[in-house]
Amino acid sequence: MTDNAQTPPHYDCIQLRHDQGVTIVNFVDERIADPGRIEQLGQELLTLSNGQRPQVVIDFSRVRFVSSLAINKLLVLEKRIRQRGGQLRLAELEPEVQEVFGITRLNDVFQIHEARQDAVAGLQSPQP
Amino acid sequence: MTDAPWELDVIIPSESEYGFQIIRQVTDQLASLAWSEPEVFGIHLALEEALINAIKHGNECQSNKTVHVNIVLTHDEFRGSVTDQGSGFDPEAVPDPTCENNVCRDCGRGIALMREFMDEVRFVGCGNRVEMSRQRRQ
Repeated sequence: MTDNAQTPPHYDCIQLRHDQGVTIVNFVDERIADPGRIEQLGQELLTLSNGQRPQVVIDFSRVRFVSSLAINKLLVLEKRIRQRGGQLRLAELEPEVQEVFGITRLNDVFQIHEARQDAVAGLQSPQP
Repeated sequence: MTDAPWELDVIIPSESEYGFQIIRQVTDQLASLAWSEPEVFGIHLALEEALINAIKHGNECQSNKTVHVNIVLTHDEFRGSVTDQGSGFDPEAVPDPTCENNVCRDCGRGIALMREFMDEVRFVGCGNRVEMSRQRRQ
């Protein structure tokens, strides 16, 4: 028996689902802090930038803590997705996590939505 | 007055798991002293950035180097120092990550977060020791 289909990547740090062309990502961990785990997370996130014009929403609703190392991985992902003509949006950030993005002015880099549905709908709408 | 300080003074290997054990002890103490969740978050973040800087950047995760951590915690104040055995750095030379040209670079963000969530952050010696403190606000 032959199988030309690629084996789908295995994810430990994130969970994925798809909604009308948008990939929705949830983190497994509440605390995104361990450097080794963040390296793995970075590798898993990069698989989301494969393909043409990837449309990705990252749902932070489970996340209670995020370190600067993790933010660096998000920046790498954002750049890769943008280079491929896609878009990345973040949603459902706890106030403390949102504050981290504000302090570091990364809310100028990332499109951040309060509600995941709004982030997803924004990517499903025709882009200008 | 029963506000005797809680103090932790330890030397740990350059492995992040030891740093996380310290963070867990500190955040447990903060919670037991009824510090608010946002304040615990801020201290957690600043302490973690200091520990990761020491382990990863200062000691470059070398197993023969250690990190000295001192924490003093009362009902009203957090004080901490983290000292690594690296060659140090000049904090003035670290780019401001909030400047437009630096926002997407991956340097200086941890220091900026420490400064934001602490009342005072000082790099002493050759830059291999950081001292930080924060008064309770809520």
